[in-house]
Amino acid sequence: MKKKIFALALALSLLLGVTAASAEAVTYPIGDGSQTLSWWIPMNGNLVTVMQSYNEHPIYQQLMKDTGVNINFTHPAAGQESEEFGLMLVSGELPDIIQTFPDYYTGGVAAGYDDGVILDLTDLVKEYAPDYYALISADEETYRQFTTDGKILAFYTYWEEYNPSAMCITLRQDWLDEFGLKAEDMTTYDAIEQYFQAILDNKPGVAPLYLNVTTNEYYLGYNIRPSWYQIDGQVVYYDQGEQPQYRAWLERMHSWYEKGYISVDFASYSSSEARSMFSAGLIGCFCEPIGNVYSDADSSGLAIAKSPYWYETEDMTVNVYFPEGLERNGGQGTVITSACEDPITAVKLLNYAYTDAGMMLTNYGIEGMCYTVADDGSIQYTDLVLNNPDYGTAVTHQLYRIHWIANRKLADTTCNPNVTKRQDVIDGRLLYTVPTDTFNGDYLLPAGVSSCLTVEENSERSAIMSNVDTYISEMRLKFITGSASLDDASWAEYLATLENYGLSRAIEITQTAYARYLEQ
Amino acid sequence: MTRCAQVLPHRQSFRGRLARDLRKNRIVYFMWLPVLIYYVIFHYLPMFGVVIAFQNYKPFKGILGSDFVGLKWFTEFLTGPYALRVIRNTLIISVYSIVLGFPAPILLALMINEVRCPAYKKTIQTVSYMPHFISLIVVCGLLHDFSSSQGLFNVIGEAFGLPRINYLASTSTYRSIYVLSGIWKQMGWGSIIYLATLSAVDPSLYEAAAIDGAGRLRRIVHVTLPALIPVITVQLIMRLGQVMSEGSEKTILLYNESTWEVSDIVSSFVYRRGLLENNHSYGAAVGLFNSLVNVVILTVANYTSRRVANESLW
Repeated sequence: MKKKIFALALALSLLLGVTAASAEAVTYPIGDGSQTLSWWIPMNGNLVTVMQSYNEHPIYQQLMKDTGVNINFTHPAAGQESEEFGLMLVSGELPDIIQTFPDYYTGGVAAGYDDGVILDLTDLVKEYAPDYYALISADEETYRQFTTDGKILAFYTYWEEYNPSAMCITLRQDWLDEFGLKAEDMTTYDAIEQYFQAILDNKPGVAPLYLNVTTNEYYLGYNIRPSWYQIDGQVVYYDQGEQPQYRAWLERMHSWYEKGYISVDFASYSSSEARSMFSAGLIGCFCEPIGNVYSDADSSGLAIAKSPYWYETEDMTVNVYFPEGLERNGGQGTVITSACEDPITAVKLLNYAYTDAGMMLTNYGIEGMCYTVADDGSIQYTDLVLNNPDYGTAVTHQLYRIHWIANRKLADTTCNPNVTKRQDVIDGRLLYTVPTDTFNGDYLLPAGVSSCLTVEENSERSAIMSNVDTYISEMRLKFITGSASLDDASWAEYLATLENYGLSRAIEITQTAYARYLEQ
Repeated sequence: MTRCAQVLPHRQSFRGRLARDLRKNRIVYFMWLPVLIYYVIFHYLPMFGVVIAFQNYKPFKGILGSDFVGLKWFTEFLTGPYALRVIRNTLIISVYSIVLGFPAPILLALMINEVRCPAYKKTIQTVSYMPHFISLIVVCGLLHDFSSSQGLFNVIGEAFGLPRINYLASTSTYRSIYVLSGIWKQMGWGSIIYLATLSAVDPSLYEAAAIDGAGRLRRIVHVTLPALIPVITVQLIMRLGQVMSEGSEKTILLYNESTWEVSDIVSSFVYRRGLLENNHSYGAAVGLFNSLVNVVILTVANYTSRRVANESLW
């Protein structure tokens, strides 16, 4: 009851706040509970063993109460999301709302709209989702990030604040101490070699580094990314442009492999295997989300340290990092399908997570039950969340709040109990991840560029990239292990093969899409 | 049923004879019904879905609403950089499996057949069937662990002075692990059909051979093997008909980018393109092409067998 009053108060304050905008604020609840909308969403892996459906989820139940709209959730089986999504389309029985639609629909929302699967929400959002509209139309760049070809086709997570990267290059603190090294000095590829070499010399049977070649963090010190980016407006893929950086990175990795720094199993290990190898003391360095790193360390009792990102040279500037700092759009593309009979109610329902009350509900859960507000306004999680008798915070941060939903989202370091439960985890998450003078995202290509491709361009590009990516990922391993040479002749051959597969055409297509994106 | 045909006058129409036969043998037809339904539902109806190989298939638009693109996907596959590689890998792995894997259950059956002590014989049979019942994903998990640099294979290899490598990440060892583990898993199960055939061999043949002075080996060569020849021929032709249909599951569980050069086969390629990249039409086109190759191989094998061994499927 108290909660309801709180929500009402917030809704009222909001009402006053947005009357300046043309659209009227939505008053919640919008329905009397007689309406039911269906919502397709893959269930979070942590909750699979806890519940059958989000209809049992306490926060979603509250969301239904607050909005006065019933939701009937359908979940694909874990691991078969893509297949079941396809079957759902074939059956023709579409739910009203689909969350993470662009992840599964070939060609994303643009193709979905083109094929008539989803609705154009531009006018509906302007009128019935004033809170969402106000956020995304705050400035030109934000509007570009949240729209496709000028149209609003989906509700996306809106980052309210900068969310520092979760990835953590992890070292063994006890070994650093033993070798007389300091984690904060590991700022270059040369510096980290000391650590690796010391492991080889002193720890027989230990592989110094588990290299995951798809992890950005290993590349960024060479100012490259293993995907698309742009340099001064010029679109680049894997540094296939003028710069020799990717080759230099490969040379470094090859030398590490030759010296025995990289585990010979690196190509066949999954990250969960790497985690258990690290816990067992068989690996000296790996890169994983910091939440996993800390919970592993708690159970294995190992002393760990976070390494700074490695640079090629000390005084360089890295331009390829921290998309989170620039991108407001946090994904979770949630669409309304053409099968929805009452899109107005659906839009109003989705708008709720962008209101103040909805933001509090999705980020923190229910006041009193999940958190309390102290006199100074600070928010404290209850024991139900932090010291739950049945579940750890890895589960409760999904169970007593809604972690993955299109909403106004606060940073994990602010509101995720799995991080905020301990100061050292917060500190670890913030360490080295805040943009500085030597760290920015100038080279990043906005995520919205790919939705500026036309359907034909998209299918042409994906046909090319399918071959290109297969070739690049195979050759990358060969270059690193040395089964392909990195000398001028074979490098020229490598580039010629990529050319032959049509990479420059794919770059050209992306370049036009980028231009279109900037024009929007 | 032949008896029916003899009793009935020849001039009766086919329909009349059929009706009469249906009445008379209704129990047999009734038992046959589930098989018919199975084939219609799971093998004949899905054939219509093959048209998506000639379309730009979009699940939401369905088969009727998707655009027709002719042979676009076939051309894209066959002119693409990976067609030759995946076909070659499929053939190599398949032939390798047949050469080593096809005789294995026959040899096992022959050996089991020679064992005299019944309890020992039963134990061997049961133990050799067991791998067949272990889920593929468990077997692949074991292989994955055994092949890692800290795994069993390396412990053994090191005793022989071999360097520690990851056997599943090495292009030179991947296929051996793939094929030999397959033999280990299916050898016992595959021997059942041969043992069943052998149990029907008239013991008097063995006695006669023994009286004629044939030793154990001669009896195997002159009595046991000839009894097996028809089964072996049919099995071999059927096996050859599946040369190109090496399943994707095991490959997907065992391969990684560093071995794609030798491990990527047609079905795993179809899986990546068709399902992971959601290009159903492309996957269907490659699958259809694959089936065509299979049909050709089966026909050639059957023809050759008829000419050479006088045994054939049709």
